[in-house]
Amino acid sequence: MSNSIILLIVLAVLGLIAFLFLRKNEKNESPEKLLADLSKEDKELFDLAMNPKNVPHTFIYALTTCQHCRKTRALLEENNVPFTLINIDTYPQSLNKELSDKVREYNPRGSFPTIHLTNGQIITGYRENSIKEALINDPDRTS
Amino acid sequence: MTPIELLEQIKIKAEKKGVFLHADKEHCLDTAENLLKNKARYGYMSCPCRLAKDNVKQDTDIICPCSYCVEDIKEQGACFCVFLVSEEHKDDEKFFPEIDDRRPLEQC
Repeated sequence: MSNSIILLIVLAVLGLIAFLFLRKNEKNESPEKLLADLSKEDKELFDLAMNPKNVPHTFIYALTTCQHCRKTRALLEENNVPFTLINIDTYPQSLNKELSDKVREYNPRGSFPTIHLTNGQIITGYRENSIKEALINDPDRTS
Repeated sequence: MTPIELLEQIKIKAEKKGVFLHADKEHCLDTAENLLKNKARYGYMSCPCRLAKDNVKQDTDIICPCSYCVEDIKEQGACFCVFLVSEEHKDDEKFFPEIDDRRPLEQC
């Protein structure tokens, strides 16, 4: 009986060590390796995020968990404004580090959403009036 | 834990400190879901409106309720996520101010 308990404890400890080891390795994987493992769509989106000037319309850096991002997206969808959005937190840690460094080039706080307009203007956060003014009310907008 | 259970816990703790959950219940439920998502992802409930570094030491100040919450509520009526609000706004479902992030730049 006691031998079984000891065996279970040993297995549990080994399992925990293996889990921590794998998690550490996952965090340490090189960005190149992580990029190669992405789906084609995620890789393309990552590339656009690293160079949003190549996007013919508004580009949004967002988080899946961010309510301000969700509201921004809803506002643009309701008003038929074309945009491309990347959820940075869905990428592995070392890639989302690269993406958040990119966001900081436009918005030093690296906050979300960070909205990159085609004219180079940046809107940070869910600024309803600014978004409407720049993307919805402007009849000459190029989005 | 379900989002509803989490909300109940947060509500009790918050009200003891004189702050309140936002009156928009759907907004609160979504925020609670996102807190649980971050708990599953990082091991702690980091602010859903900010990108966590997946390092509890570096993210301590943005574990909900974040270190900036009290000042934000005192000065602007709501925390950065507009999840917790002051007594003055506790019944206002439409209260969604734009809160400036007061987290020090070097920690962002």
